[in-house]
Amino acid sequence: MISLRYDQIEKVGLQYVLDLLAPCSPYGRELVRNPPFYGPGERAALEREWYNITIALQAYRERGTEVTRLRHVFTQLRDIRPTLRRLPEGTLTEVELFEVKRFLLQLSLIVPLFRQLNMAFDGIAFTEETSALALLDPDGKHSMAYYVHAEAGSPLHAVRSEKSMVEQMLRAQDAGGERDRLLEKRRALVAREEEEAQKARQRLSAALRPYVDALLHNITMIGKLDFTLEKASLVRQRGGVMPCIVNSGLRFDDMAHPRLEDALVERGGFTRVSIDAPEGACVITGANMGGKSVAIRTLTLQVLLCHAGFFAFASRAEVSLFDAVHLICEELESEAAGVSSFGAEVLRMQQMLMDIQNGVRCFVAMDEPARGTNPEEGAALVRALTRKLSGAHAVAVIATHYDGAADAARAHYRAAGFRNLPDVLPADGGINFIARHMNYGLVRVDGESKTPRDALTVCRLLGLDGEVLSDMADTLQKHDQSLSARHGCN
Amino acid sequence: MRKLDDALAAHTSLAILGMGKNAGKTTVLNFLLSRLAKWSKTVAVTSIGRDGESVDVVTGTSKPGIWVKRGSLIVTATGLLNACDITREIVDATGIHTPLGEVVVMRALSDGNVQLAGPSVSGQLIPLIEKLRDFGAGVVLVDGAISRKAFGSPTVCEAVILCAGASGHPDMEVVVRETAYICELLLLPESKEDHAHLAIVDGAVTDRVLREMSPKPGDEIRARDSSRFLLSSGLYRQMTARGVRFTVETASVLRCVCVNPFSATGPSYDADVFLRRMREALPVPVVDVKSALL
Repeated sequence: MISLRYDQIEKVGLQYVLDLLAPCSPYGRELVRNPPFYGPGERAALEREWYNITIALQAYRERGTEVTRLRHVFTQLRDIRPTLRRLPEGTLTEVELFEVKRFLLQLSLIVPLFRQLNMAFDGIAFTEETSALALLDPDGKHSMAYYVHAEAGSPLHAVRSEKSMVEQMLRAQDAGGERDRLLEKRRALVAREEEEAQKARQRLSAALRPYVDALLHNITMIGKLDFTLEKASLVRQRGGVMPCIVNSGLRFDDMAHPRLEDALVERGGFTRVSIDAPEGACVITGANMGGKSVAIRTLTLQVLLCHAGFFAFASRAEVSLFDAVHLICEELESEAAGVSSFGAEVLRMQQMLMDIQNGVRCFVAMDEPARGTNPEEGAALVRALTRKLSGAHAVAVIATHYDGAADAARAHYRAAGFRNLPDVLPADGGINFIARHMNYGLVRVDGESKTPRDALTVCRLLGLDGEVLSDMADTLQKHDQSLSARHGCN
Repeated sequence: MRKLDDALAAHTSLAILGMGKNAGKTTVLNFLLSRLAKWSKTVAVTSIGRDGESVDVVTGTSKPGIWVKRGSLIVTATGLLNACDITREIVDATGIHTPLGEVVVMRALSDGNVQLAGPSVSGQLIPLIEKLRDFGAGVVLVDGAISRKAFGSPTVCEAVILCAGASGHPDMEVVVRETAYICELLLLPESKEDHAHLAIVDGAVTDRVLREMSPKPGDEIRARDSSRFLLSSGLYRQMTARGVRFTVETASVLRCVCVNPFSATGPSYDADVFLRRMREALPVPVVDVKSALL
């Protein structure tokens, strides 16, 4: 089952997408709060979700007025599921009976409006339940109000008539002995009326019990339709493509990330990247601040959206289905468990590996794993993980600085890095300079490629202390010279 | 009683505000309801918080119930339905939740006793009053559980009836003085003119706010309406003596003051003396409902 913690959902940008939705009914809102994710055994259901989005898009285009009317009725719905859950064992109160009647009347509006849409939704259909409504509305007046009905000749009818006569007499009676006597008589009638009304509610509750499943079914349909209309509305606002399911790997072209897109509007916009990741491990290397993390998160977002029955924010989406999604990112690992963030990251890695070993089909996204330890050991760990995941029944995408990981992967992408840098770099060029001169795209790399070293450039552009920069440059130069000498000797 | 009849005829919403507990609001409310029963207007009645209980939950004293006529609209909470003995239909479940359950609107299909429980926030009460009108209410009576001047705001109800009683203080003159002060606030004049000595306060005018403003003689302090003035009478008198003017953007309408000489907790007042003193001290009509009914 795909389950992520709230901070992971937030980090990946899925919560931002969910917050863009504005479902009208309490049932739609619940689906947005806890969207269902579909796994490998639910391909047909998932494809039905996507298909229904295309139908909803058609409805918006061709039946916009009817869609608006339908959503307007949805806004008036209250959640009556607690009442329906009580009904099988209990007697409903008059307020609960009112709520059920109100829902049935609203359903009697929803059914013809849905019919008027005349759209070929798959797996969304309503039933009007007129018999249940007739129980609560025996006069057929379709009034929203509810009272415990008393048939002519029934004990309830009789006691109400008698009580009404006493109340009529009371109106003409000022304070005094006769008034007190009438009030006393009325009290006794009130008690009898309550008793008879209770019996009537018991009978009515029993008569309504067979309809519980049908009402819950209609509620499920309302939620699904509301949610589907919102997913379609999102496509109308932000674009998107209907995914298609493949047997292995995944491919997304021109992926978008709504939260980052919205944040970067002022700063030159968001660069859409494409990834074609085969089964096994795919490594993304590249310059600092080059967009590796963004690529990982954008890809993870698309995978989650597809599995939740949304369109992908991409121009093309091919996805194989996963049982689990593992997002492993050191900054998300809290120290609350009493281990360091590196320790927590390792625990997450082990959970992921256990899942894979147990046959759980996983999508794994690792953003700069093992950066919380020394470089030599970190590089060794990432290389080992990459080798392991390359042979696994999983798709793993790993962003890393470390050398050698790409050699063990099935595919290698590189963040394109700096472009059009002037010969003389400005001291303290700042983040905006970097943003202007960074190509945030991804380039597929075939064959061996060294991990680029742009950290020195980034430090220089961000105005790091000159002495420190100079020392860093010296160290790197000596390191390169030493490597060259070793290769020369060999 | 004509004054109360006039109030009912002139307004579609009336707030009955008490100077304190056991001020006689329920007696006034029952009287208004009995008068309205003779007219063709549909009455809606609600409270801020809870009222109409047979025993006051704060003081433990017995309280009169509220008797409504068939056709009235009543606002109560689900937790109090068992204490209402009218035959009724549920007209709305509002989705407003209180400690006594969800606030519901019912229509009386018979005469009988009810207990009221409406929302306790004016932001919820205003749309509820609109809804009551949609359900056919020709006049809405709003009964305060405890004195809360916010509900005297003209944005909530068109007019106010103030209730004051012996339960407020053993000393009659204290009650007279405090009632006179509240009347003065409720009767603050409306003012729209801009000038150099005007200070408009958007929120509440409290003692602290006023001291910080440090107004000079001739200054005008204007609030949205009288419910925003939460000043102690001492500071108010001090400022007005100094020549500071207090005004409002929208004036309240105080129709009359109803007095209750009976105390629930201590010695009662002489009814005639109390009525006379209130009439001398207050610039609005004063009515003793219970004595008039007797």
